[in-house]
Amino acid sequence: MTSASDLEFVAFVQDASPRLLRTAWFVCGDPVQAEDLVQAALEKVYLRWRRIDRGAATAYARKILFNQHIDTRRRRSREVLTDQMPERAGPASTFEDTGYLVRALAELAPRERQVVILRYYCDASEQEVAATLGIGVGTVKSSASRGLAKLREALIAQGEHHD
Amino acid sequence: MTDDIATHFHEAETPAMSVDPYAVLAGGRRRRLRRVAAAGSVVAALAVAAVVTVSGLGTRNDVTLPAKTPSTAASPVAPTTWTLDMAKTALDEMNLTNPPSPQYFLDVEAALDAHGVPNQPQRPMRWYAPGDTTDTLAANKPLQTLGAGIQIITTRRAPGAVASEDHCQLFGGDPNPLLVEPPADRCTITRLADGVLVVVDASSLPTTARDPATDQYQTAVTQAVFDSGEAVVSVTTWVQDTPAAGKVADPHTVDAATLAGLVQDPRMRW
Repeated sequence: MTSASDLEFVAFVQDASPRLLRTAWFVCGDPVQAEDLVQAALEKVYLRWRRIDRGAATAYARKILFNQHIDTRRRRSREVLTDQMPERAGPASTFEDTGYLVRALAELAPRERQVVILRYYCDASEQEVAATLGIGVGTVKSSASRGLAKLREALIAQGEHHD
Repeated sequence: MTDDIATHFHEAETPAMSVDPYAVLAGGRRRRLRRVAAAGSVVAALAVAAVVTVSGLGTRNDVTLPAKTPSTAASPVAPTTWTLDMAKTALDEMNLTNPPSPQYFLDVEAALDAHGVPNQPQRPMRWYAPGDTTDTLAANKPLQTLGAGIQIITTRRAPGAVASEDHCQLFGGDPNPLLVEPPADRCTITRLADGVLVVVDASSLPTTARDPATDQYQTAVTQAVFDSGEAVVSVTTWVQDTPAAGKVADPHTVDAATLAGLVQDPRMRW
């Protein structure tokens, strides 16, 4: 049996997950990893669900998601490289024609990418971005400026490549 | 200037992705359980349920109780509240002279193994009540027959136990404990030095079809633990609507502060 609070949480997940998945995909560039990130982030939201301000739940989930992404990157940086190819094909082939933005975002440093996504996809203010990522507003501004410039370059380069 | 970038974001096609809300819910519950399990000490993750409904059992069980107040059996007046001293005195009188040693639990395990008692779900539960502190699973008899005493449930983590097993051991094997939610004003969480004490007034819970006395407080305790989301020192529930409660002429309640002091007693911290 599921309590009313749990049902409310399920409804929240149904409502918030599409946008969170899209955000996660922009951040990590891999749909499978994006699903994992969102799943883990929402599970952590559940831990505080009874105390959380419902109006801030999505922002809280996003904050966890970004932290989770950084953690995942740190863990993976410690993984051992191998020359054995995986049996499964990489995800890029499944959306080669639609992944141009993600490929361009991959050119950015992780922090720049997060700032750009929060500013221009999530429509967050500089203060909100700073709060979400735990950095200063000045860092947000500089990261956004650098990230935006790199993103434009990457998008232009991709356009030239396709031409 | 940045509108074109925002447009890129909003118009970019995305691959098919989804999360199952109920899988998220299940995952969230598992995380909570792991948190609770992580709060367990070397010997046990403890759930202490104190039923502090005291009546005149002294002469019937050779136990001297704290000084009695006049009986209120005839009228449903508010029960008197126990002080910490009173609760500790009762604990003294229960002849819980020493905390059970690790060897004690091993001996019990061996005895249960010899009798083929399955490991789930009641096996780790041990009930203590006035006059009967040595028996294990049947030791709740005085409580049932006299309707009085302090009821203590102890559990301990089996080596290598996973969260779900801990959950079953802690809460009687109910695979889906979120049956009812205790009203917020009947559940208090008190911070202690090493965690939190959760106190639930299980008498506020609705009666269930099965075993009300067991189900109600286990459900309440489970919920309280889940709600706390922190290291749980003890979970204490007082129940005044057990089947035996009708025999209680003079029930006492215990407030959270008293229980917080009570669970600091070494005999309650196995």
